[in-house]
Amino acid sequence: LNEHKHEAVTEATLNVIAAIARVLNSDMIGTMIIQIHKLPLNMLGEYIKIVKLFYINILHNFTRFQNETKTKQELSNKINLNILWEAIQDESELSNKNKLATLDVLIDLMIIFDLANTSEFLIKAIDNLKIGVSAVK
Amino acid sequence: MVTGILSEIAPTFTKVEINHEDAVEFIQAVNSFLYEENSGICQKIRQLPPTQVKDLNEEEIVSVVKAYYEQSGDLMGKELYCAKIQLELLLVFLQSPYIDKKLTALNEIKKMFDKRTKNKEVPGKTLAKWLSECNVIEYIYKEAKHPELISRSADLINILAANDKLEVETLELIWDT
Repeated sequence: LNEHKHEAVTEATLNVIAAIARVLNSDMIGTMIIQIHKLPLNMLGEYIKIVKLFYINILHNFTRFQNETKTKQELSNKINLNILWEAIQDESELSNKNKLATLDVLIDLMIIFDLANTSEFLIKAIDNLKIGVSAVK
Repeated sequence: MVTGILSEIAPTFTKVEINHEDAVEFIQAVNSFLYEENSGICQKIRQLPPTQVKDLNEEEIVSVVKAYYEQSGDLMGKELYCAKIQLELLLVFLQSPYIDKKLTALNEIKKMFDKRTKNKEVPGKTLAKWLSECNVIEYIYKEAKHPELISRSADLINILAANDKLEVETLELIWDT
């Protein structure tokens, strides 16, 4: 029961973090991005949909900084989706189900954020699919 | 002129004449008084035993606040006092051992904020200041640690953020959970 409660607390907390990403100032967003990037891969995969919501809410928040090009650019630079890519490539931490869910989220976010390196990521993702994501555990 | 309960607990204010320029300072002075350690109503609310807290309900909160409001006559800032007393009750609810009371407290706080934002009766910053001073977020994440309470805390954090009262330390506390 305690384990389930801990999981429920973790999920609820991540949901709150994702929700408040809409109202944080740029410094706080930067802090949260750093923390998200520090998540263990297994947690990242398990709660990937919440992580996706977090990133989307950051994007929503960008509209508040539309007159602050520098701030917007700085935040964009801080968003590093490599962490998702690393999670997909990891061979021990994530189940296949979570890897595929993470890949879906990565592709969605790359398109949503219109990242400069989208093409590069997509090519890698496709290559990975070619060799078979299911080949990993 | 102060009448009723307030004349008993705040006699020093009975002869104060208020103009608009002094209103803010006066309200702050009364609020400070109400929040002193031995300040009648708030003190009694804080000392409510759990058995009484369990039996209280939302209607009773409204009833208590309304009764206080009626007896405070034409005192300026009485809406603010009522809000403070209601918040004091809700804090007791939140810190009670009963999950339904805790949830009621969070729901009521959000309703108060929504209503006051809409009507502009009491600045949202008053509510944010109260949340901050009473360490409500800290209580939810460090002591209560209940998923339902945590889920509802996003509303409270929004109130803090909207009034520039959200600190990085609060975010770190949430993250550390």
